[in-house]
Amino acid sequence: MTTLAAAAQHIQDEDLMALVDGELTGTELTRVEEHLAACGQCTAGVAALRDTQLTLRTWSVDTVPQGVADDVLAHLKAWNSGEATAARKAPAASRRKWWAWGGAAGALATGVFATLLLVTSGGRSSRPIESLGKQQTLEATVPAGGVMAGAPAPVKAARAAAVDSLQQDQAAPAPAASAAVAGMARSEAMLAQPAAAEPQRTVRPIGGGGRTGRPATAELNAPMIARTVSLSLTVRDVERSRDALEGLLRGYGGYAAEMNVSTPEGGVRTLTASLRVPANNLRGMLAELKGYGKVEDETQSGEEVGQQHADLAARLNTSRQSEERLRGILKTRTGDVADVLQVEEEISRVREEIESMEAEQQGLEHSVNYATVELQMDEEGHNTVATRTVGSRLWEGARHGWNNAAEALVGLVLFVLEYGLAIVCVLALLGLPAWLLWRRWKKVRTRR
Amino acid sequence: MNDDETLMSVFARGSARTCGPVERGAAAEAFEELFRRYKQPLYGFFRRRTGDAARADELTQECFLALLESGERYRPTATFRTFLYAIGLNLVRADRRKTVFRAMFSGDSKTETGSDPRTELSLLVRDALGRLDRVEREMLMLREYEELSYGEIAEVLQVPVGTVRSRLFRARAALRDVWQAAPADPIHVAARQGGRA
Ligand SMILES: [Zn+2]
Repeated sequence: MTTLAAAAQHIQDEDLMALVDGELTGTELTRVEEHLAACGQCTAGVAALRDTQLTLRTWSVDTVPQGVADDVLAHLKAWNSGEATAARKAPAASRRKWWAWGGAAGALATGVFATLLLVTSGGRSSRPIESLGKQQTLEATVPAGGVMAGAPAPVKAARAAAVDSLQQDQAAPAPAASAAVAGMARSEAMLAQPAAAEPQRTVRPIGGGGRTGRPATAELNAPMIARTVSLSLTVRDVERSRDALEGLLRGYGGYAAEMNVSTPEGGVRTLTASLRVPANNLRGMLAELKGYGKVEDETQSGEEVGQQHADLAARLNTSRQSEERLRGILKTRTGDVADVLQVEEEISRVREEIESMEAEQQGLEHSVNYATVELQMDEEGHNTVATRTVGSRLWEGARHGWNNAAEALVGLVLFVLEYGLAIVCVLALLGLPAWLLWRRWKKVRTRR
Repeated sequence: MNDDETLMSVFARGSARTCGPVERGAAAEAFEELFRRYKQPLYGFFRRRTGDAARADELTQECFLALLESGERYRPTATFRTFLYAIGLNLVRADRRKTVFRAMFSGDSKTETGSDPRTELSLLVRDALGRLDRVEREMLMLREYEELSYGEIAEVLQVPVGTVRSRLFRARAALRDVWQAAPADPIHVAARQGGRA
């Protein structure tokens, strides 16, 4: 009976999620929080959701390269000094005469062609950012009236397209709820924010990381060293060594964060792996690993992360204190709803910060507890290329050629399926001015 | 301190054809501040949605240049973040189309090598996200990495807020299913990743 009654009142999973996402407000939030204070089951549900969130956030990215920043700022400078005005006068100029359309069509054709070139020349390194920047600043100084002033037409078109399709977005009124929440998040006036080292909410890179809940431990005094070993071996048989390696890892309680075996055409089979081994077992495992073949190269390094860990602990402490203080404010506050909402928003922000720092901290601890072994194993070279007969190489070539042809054909079909309509449109666009041009030219000739 | 929307409005005002040098200078300053705030988040946005770092560099740059050229089109009805990420999404979509086109000429089908090989958990994460429904994955990523609210996600993806909520819930449930079904030993995930590359 009692369990039934309790079950009926459990918070719905979707509401728990909304809570974790900081989307609950007002009475709804109070209702959920009151229930959570008394219900272990729902609290566990929240913990599981937070766990998912933390796991997702282990996917960190590197920092934005300086080159990108420099380039954008260079463009901004040009924009500010008015060099870009040439581009902005262009539309008026192009409206002048009907034959200007002919020019425009030509430019467009060039643009389309350039796009195709640009796109097809792709591959690993597409156009370098620096050169793009230079090109644009140069073109920006072309006298006004040039139809293509400013950025190269295809680039510009792509950018404009990216913005153009937004027009409906803006026409539609913003959902009231979102506007309210967003406005809230942004009006940072009333709260002192000791923990807000960063004014905006960025996705902070997080180290490895694991599950929540573990408090900062007292291992602080011991030196914290994250060990990395890179080892390069030559072995008889990569496939067999790989099997043995998996057994070895299991035996030492380690695992492979990444493992690849590559077999290049006629080349030497290679295994590359990133292994994680409990730091205490590193020596033992390395010794066994070296028995697999001949050691070509070995380097060991250790990074002291104790300071980093201590810094994190200090920041965490500050954030936890400010969370507590905010919760205190919430308890004593009787003021208007908007203020309360703002405090709640702030709490959830601090909470997020705390959780990401905890994840970072655990990532550090993980890197200390588990040493990293970057392993490369090459198979003893049988030089297959030299021993291959002319016949087999011809056959190989023919097979390759056929494969490439088939691939290109499939690609072409895909391309037509995807771009067919666009191509027809472009052709129509190009064809119309050409037709007009031709008609006019004929008229002129007959009149003469 | 100014919020994003105020900065964007200052920038929009200075983008008008008729404005004077003072307004223009203020606009440039506002833009620079917005750039400072969003370069890293936006880079992360592209980095997680494209195969390699070089593309992410280019797209980040493209996106800010698109912003630079579109000041006059910003309407204060949209929050700055939704405006920016909507442009970003359009660029990602266009880039994916190009990649398909490119791949068939160069035969280069290499996609994801990962941004941080050190964290094995991130392999699990990428693998699991890759199995989600396309739209649900986008919603989840906007929520978790760009930290957009439900309302903002709804605006960026042009769907009702209720839909965002229910589909986000479904995405998270699916994610947990994937993780629970996956073998505890990350080696399998790593092997799968390796096999795909
Ligand atoms: Zn309950």
